[in-house]
Amino acid sequence: MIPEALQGRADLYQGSGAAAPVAAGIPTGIRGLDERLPWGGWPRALTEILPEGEGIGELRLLLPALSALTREGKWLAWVNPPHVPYAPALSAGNVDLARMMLVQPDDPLEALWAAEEALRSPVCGAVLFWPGRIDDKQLRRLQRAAEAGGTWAVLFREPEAARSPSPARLRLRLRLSATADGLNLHVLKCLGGWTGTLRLTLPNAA
Amino acid sequence: MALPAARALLPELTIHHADPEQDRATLERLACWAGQFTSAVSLAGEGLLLDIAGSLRLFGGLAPLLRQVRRGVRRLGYRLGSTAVAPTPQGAWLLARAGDGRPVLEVGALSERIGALPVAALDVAGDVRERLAGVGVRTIGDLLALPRGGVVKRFGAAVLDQVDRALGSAPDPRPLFVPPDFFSGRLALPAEVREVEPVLFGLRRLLTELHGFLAAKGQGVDTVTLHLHHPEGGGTPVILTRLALTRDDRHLFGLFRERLGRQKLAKSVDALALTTGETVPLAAHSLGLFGGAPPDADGQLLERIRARLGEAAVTGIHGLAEHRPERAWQPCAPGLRQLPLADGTRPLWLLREPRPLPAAGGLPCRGGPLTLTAGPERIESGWWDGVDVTRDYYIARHGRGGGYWVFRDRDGAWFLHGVFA
Repeated sequence: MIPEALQGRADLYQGSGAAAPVAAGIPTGIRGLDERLPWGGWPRALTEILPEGEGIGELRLLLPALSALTREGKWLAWVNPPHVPYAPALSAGNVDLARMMLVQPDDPLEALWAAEEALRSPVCGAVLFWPGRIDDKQLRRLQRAAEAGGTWAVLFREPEAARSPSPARLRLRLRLSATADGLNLHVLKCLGGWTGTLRLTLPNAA
Repeated sequence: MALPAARALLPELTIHHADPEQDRATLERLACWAGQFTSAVSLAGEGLLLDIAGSLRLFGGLAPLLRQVRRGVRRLGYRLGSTAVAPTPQGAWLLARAGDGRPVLEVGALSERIGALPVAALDVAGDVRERLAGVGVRTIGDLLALPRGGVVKRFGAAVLDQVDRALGSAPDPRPLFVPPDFFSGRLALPAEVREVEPVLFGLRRLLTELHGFLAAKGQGVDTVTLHLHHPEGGGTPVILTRLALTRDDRHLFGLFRERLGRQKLAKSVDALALTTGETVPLAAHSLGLFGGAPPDADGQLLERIRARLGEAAVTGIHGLAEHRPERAWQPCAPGLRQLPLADGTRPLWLLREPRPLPAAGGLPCRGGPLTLTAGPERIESGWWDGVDVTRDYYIARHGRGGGYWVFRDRDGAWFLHGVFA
């Protein structure tokens, strides 16, 4: 845990310290994470999640923030999810199911359109989007829409996507840690913040 | 000027014959629309009088109100001849006729400003105007300088009465315009068209009118129908229904555009008509005091997505108190209120259909044998409705992979049903 060991050292230059003021993020609700992010939480901007494998906590990582957003009356738009977001588990995670919107278009371009609409809408707190293939221009559009709407755009992509650059403000690669309830979170990019690896313990572990 | 004389001066002149009936209908439609600014609208000759004393605060003052009126009239596709503001209706009327747009805000300033207007602004017969000019009366001020008795005797009482009402020294009650109960807007297109664009152009005007009409009544609608009229007779309706109660013309325009944008016009169109379902009270103004989203914005997002992707593409999820996992949820209308569910440990992803898993040594495999870390949880129900289920659910893991929700059925076959994402 190098970052923790380095914390508080006067001889270490911290890049995020001098960064321009940033819009307040959405508290992650995960112990030890908010203070690592320059927004004090998840950014109201494009965030890429690159999970290595399924069922490792890729949704549980987001769950406390998603729950809090719905409790503020914000909507969650799930665009093109690979499976059904399961009502009993969401409900157990304190997500208000009445603020869930599932969008499943036939056409990938329509999915992109719907994600952009939802991002620009003031009623959505977060848009979770599984785009499949997506190019740089489309990523930029989503990033602009997210910042214009003040909405958290969560993009789920294959880990291979890490090889190409992205306008996302935050990119995270997720890997299961040695213990079952742990998640290694590798920060590939964090605008105005820190990159490195964090070991997190997620709530509601299976 | 007589027509031959005009033609002589300007041979390429296009002649539009005045149609008083048409003008009157147009003015009434504008009066419906103008009701959003004040409940006191009256028709006056070729103009409209709006009593705005009570509306200034709501619209943030005179200048913003006038801006909205001008912009609105432009969006309806009309050109405003002139506008004037005065403490008396007749005063505003005379100023507007004389083209004097500087607002008069105090009664005390009226006599000077009205006095400076030409007598031609008064509604008097042509011979009276000539006789006034004959005695050297050019402005209303000149007229007021003459002895009243003589003016009444020579030019009639009506002339001075107009001035007295303008100055507020004579009462001037005006009959208020009463808008019809239902909105019905119709617009003839300048030509027969088969493209969507000109239809949208006309539609935008009709929707602006509809917005004014509804705002004036403090009402909204949940159904709007656009009729596309075909020159050979008959029409095609385009219906928006089950909307969240609204009168937002831009939102409605967006919905119609999505709808029309996906279909070619099968037949040419020469006129549009817009009608609504029943109108229902809707809060007058969303002032956004709390800085939050306008109250109907969530409905609007859903409707926009539905209009483009189809009803089935957008759903909410509904949790049900039901043992069989695939029945513990169902798609529903987004926004459905529901009670929290209590249940055992459940995965965040449910597969749409349980997926058969190969087995080795009595254990399920997914890229290698899985380890069962919790279970079994016996779920057995449904015999009463013919979809009976007996399953033993486990939480399973695979090496560095994640948590799966798997079950073994009565015959010992393994299935993947969920992912602990």
